[in-house]
Amino acid sequence: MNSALLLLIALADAAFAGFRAYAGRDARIRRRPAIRRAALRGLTAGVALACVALLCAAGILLAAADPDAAYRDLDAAAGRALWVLVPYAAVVGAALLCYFGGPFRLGTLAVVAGLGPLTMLRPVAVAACVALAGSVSLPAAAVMAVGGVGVLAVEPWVHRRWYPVPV
Amino acid sequence: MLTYRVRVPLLEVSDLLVAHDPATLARVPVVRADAERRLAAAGDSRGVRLLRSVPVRDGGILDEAAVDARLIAVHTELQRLSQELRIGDRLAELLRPLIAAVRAGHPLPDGRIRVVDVGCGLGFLVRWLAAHDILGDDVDLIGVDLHAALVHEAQRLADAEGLRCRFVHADAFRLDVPATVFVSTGLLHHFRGPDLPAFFAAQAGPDTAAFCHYDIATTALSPIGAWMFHRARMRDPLGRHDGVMSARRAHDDATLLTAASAAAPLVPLVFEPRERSNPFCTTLRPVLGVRPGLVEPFRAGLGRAARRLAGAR
Repeated sequence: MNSALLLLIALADAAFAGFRAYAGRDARIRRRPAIRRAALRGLTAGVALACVALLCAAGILLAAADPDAAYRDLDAAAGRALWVLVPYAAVVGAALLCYFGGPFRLGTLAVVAGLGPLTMLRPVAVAACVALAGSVSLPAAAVMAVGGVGVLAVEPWVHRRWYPVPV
Repeated sequence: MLTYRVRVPLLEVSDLLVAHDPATLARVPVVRADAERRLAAAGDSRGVRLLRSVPVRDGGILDEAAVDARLIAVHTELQRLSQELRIGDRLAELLRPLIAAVRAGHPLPDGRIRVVDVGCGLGFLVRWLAAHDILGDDVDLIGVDLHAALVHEAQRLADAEGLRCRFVHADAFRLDVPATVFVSTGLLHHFRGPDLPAFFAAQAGPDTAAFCHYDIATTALSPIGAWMFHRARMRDPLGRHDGVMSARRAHDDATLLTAASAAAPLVPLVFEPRERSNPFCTTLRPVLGVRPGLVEPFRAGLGRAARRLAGAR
């Protein structure tokens, strides 16, 4: 259950990473289709990179003497990562709600005090997830590290692949 | 022992990449070593390193094509910041009542109202106003810039979306047709010393009904906020460097009000001055100049938001 929720958050993050990879590369005013395409590209990259982490987890389970215990460790590690990611995602969600649903001054507040700093804190959140997974077991930390690198790689990958210059 | 601190000018690298002949507006070659010397004299070693990343051609002259491509990329990233900070909405909040007051109370010989964006860059404001059809059919939206490559790109973007606006490579104060309202964003901090009141004085002609120039609000938070925000949102180190410099160079409300009084008889005003705004909600605020007869209709049109205006009544 924890692992599934973690994967869901990672894929949502990948879609946002796709948007960020595109943002700042298209100076048109009406860009909804382009934004959707960028989010989809991020999601696709996220799925590919999540597969690497899932393969890593599968390898650990196959090699484990007690696969059930190894799975419990991995799920517990995912649960600890959620300690960081659920509040992070909740704040991002609240900021997005203010940005899109509120008056423009509230939107500015959401960007200046919320979305901007949270983008900068993203690598710190991922590092915290790896550290928390390490407190459960080393194999779990390894899987989380692979997943974390994947999460952080989506944006530069999509940017270099599709948006190296202004469109 | 007494030590003296010499104030050195803060420079933006992008300001040093392009030069124009003020009379003809023709582009003038820029020798990279000269620009480097200015940055070095300002103690800006990072700026020097950034400048060295710009290619040169024979004679150490900055490669114009490379400079143009870089500046278009930086301005495209910069537009993202304008969008996130809702600059279009902010300008529209003021322009709607301002244009209504102009329509009702300012002589318009040909019945047209011309809103001219000074130093428009890629013309985000003008294109945003056109795309959202904010001001009405009797308003011509014109973006003006000294940098021909930015003007060309702005027009290309407008044409690509079929927007009713145009862009001109010209001096905004010497247009064929006079401006009714001047606007700008992020321009004022580029004017230093006597150039600032001179900029406002140039807008005091009889055809000008008003001006509304947005620039970075000066607060204790603005330099660190600018650093954080440019770091999070911009990739080009040149844009990041200049973004922080912009915040450090921004003029405070009192300086802008004093300078704007050079545009007399236009009445100088500041909207959302420091003491009446939350720095997290107001990262940019405008200085305005309004014809005396239009001030009250403008205030009335603003409604409750008029309480955010400061300056002469």
